[in-house]
Formats: sequence, structure tokens, C-alpha cells
Amino acid sequence: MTAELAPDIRAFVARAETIAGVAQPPPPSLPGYIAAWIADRIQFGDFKPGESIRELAVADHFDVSRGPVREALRLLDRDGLVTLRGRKGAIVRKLTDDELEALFHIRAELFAAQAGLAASASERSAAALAAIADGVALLTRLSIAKEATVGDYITVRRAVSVLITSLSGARYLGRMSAVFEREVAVLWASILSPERRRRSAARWTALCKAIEKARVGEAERLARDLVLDSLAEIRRRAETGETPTGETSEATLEKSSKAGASD
Amino acid sequence: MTKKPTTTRQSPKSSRTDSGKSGPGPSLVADELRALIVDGSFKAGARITERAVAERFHCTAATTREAFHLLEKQGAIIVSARRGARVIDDQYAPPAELFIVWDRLRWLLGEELRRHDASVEQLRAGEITAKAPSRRLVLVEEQLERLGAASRNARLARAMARIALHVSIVAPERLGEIGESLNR
Repeated sequence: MTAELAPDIRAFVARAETIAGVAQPPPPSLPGYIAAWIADRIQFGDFKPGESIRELAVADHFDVSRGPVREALRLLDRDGLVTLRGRKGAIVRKLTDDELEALFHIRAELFAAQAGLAASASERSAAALAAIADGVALLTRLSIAKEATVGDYITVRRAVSVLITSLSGARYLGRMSAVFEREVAVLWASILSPERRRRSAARWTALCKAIEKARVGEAERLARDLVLDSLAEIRRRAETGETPTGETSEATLEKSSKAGASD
Repeated sequence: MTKKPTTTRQSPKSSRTDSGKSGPGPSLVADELRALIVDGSFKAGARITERAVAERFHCTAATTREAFHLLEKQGAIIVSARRGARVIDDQYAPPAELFIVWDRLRWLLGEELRRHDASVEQLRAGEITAKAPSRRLVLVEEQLERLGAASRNARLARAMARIALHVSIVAPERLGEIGESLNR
């Protein structure tokens, strides 16, 4: 996380969680904590699809036994982020083209439904609406700040999604949307090059505006397009054979510091 | 040489290791448990203890945990360190929202079928008359599998099966609507 923007990012995430009522999640169990850390490494692009995650390396990193690590990998397997490989550990899930296509279309529909509900809900919290506006403003700042990382951007984006879910009042829909989003999250970092982040921030801004103005049809369409645009970008990259991010990952397991674990 | 002490510890740990050779496997236990949940032996929101499972199926604790893992992956239960394994309930999955999700995915499936020139007409399943909800759910799943193959989108069909499972647990009386919507 960048020093200059870090306080703003942390403050925004905390505010979003408070508004959405997920302010005091119980402290995660050790496996839960490790799983969340690995999930972030995957989503921020430090662990790439197909790469193996060795139990022992993670256990060493956290200075724990292999038991909680194995449990963490099971949690991630449940969420479709990794595929368990017997006693050796797991590999970061690699999606087939068909799965990818299907997951993005499912996400697009569910996200459109969420956006539509968020735009049309009868009682909308003013605090949530204000926070969403600040959230997209922060996204825009992050999309142009040179020192901002993919992780920063994704962290704020996730918090904006949490607010949209809260506004929609549809928690199950939000959860299902998140389930499918997590499955494709292995690819987020790879498509969020700096120039694409700028485009993405502009799209999020337009979407949140439509939600704020209660323009239901427009919100649905923008939400769907936003997701399908990511799919188009992934396809384009696959065709041109472009390398994923063009950014060097800063936190591979061996290199990352203990401090990184508390992100 | 000193003889090893012969006292056997009766902790759950030791019984787990020495009964490891027999008993049903995790996927069988998960399937049976799922049927029990859907048919209401374990109601929505009910807690399922490892012990109850081990006693009923004569399986090891490791098998039970693996079965829980499979069921959680399918979306039938939620396992947490503090509260153990619980069947999902209508607070987790309110029927109204289930149908919002279902309708969206059903629409998507229609698009996919059209794209591949497959019609629901040819794949129409007979009316689901089975009594046991678990049996009805299996019929819905089979129909979804056929539609998934015809639309070349097995992943979507699987996502829909997850929603159908949720419906069968929190609103079993509405499983018929799910079946009907697949014939339209």
C-alpha cells in the first residue's frame, strides 16, 4: 500500500464496512486469516493461476504448523480460488475459457440485478450514497496515482461493491455475486493495467452516478457492461498474447515481509 | 527393551485414527446428508454435529469433516469455527432473493440455448411428480445437466443447481416452480 494514500484507503474501507453493517466481524480464526491473506495474494496477482502454493512455505511464512495452512487451503478450495493437490498443497485455480466466459456472464447478470436494486430501493441510506460517491472519487484518484498498486485499487473497489450490496438490501444476491466474483478474481490483477484502471474508474463513476440518481435501467446496463468489458479485455489479451500486468509483483511468498501479512 | 504401554487412550483423536480403514467415504456421506437436509431431517438452520454424523454413518471424524467441506462447497451448509456446521436458512437465503437470482440465471440460460440453436422444447422434462424433495431436486439437477450440455454452458447449469439446492432447503414447496421454469 502506498504511504500517501494508505490512510484514505483504510478510512474508506472502515467506513464502508460500518455502513454496510459488517463493521465488527469476529476476529478470523487462524486458518481464516491465512486464507484471507492467500486470497489477497491471488487477487492482487502475486500468486498466478496454475502456480503451486506449498503448505510448508506458507506455514514457515506465518511461523505456524501445517494444520492451519491445510485448513486455509480447504477454505480457498471451497471458494474456488485454489485446487487442492493431496498432501502437497494446492495450485491457484486456472480457469478454462468456457468457465471464464460462463462466470463473467453470470457475474454480469447478478451485478446488474444488484445495481438495479441499489438504484430502485425505496429506503436508501444517505450515508451509503455519500460513501459510494467518495469511494468512486478515491478510485479515480488511485487510477491516476503513479504509486498506487493494483491491490490498493482492488481493495477500494471491493469496498464500493460492499456499499452497493448494502444499498440494494439484497444480501443473498450480494453473496452470490461475490461467490462468482471471487472465482474470477484470480484474473483481476492481470487486467488492471494502469491505463485500464483509469477506464475502469470512469465506468464505476458512471455506474455510481446512475445508482445515485435512481436511474434503474441505466444502472443495470452500466453494471453489466462493466463486467463484460473485463471479459472483453481478458479475451483481447489472450489473443494478442500480452503479458498479464506489466507490473512486477512485489510480494511473492518468499520475499514478502511479515508486515505485508497484516494488510 | 521396555514394552510399550498398552493403555489405549479413548480420546476422539485415537478413535479417529484406528477406525480409519472402514466406513463410507466422504462423498457418499455428503450425498446422504444432503438428502437428509433436503427431506427435512435436518431442518433449515439446524446444527449438524460431527458426532451425529459419525454415529449415523459409522464414519471417521476425518470423513465427516471432508463431507462437511463438500456440502459447504455445494452451498447446503455453512461451517464456522465457532458455530460448527449449520444448514442454511431463510435468513441466509430469503426466498424472494433466491428467485431474483434464479430468474436472472434462467434468462441467461435461455440466451445460451438460443445461441447454440437448442430449444427447451426438445429437452422438455416430464412433470416432476416425485414426492420426496430430495428426489425432486435430483430430477431438477438432471434436467439442468441436460440443458447445460445443450447450451454448452455446464458452469451456468452448475450455478443454477446451487440455487435450486438453496430453494429446496429454505422453500421446498417452491421447487416445483423451479422445475416448471426449466420447461418454458
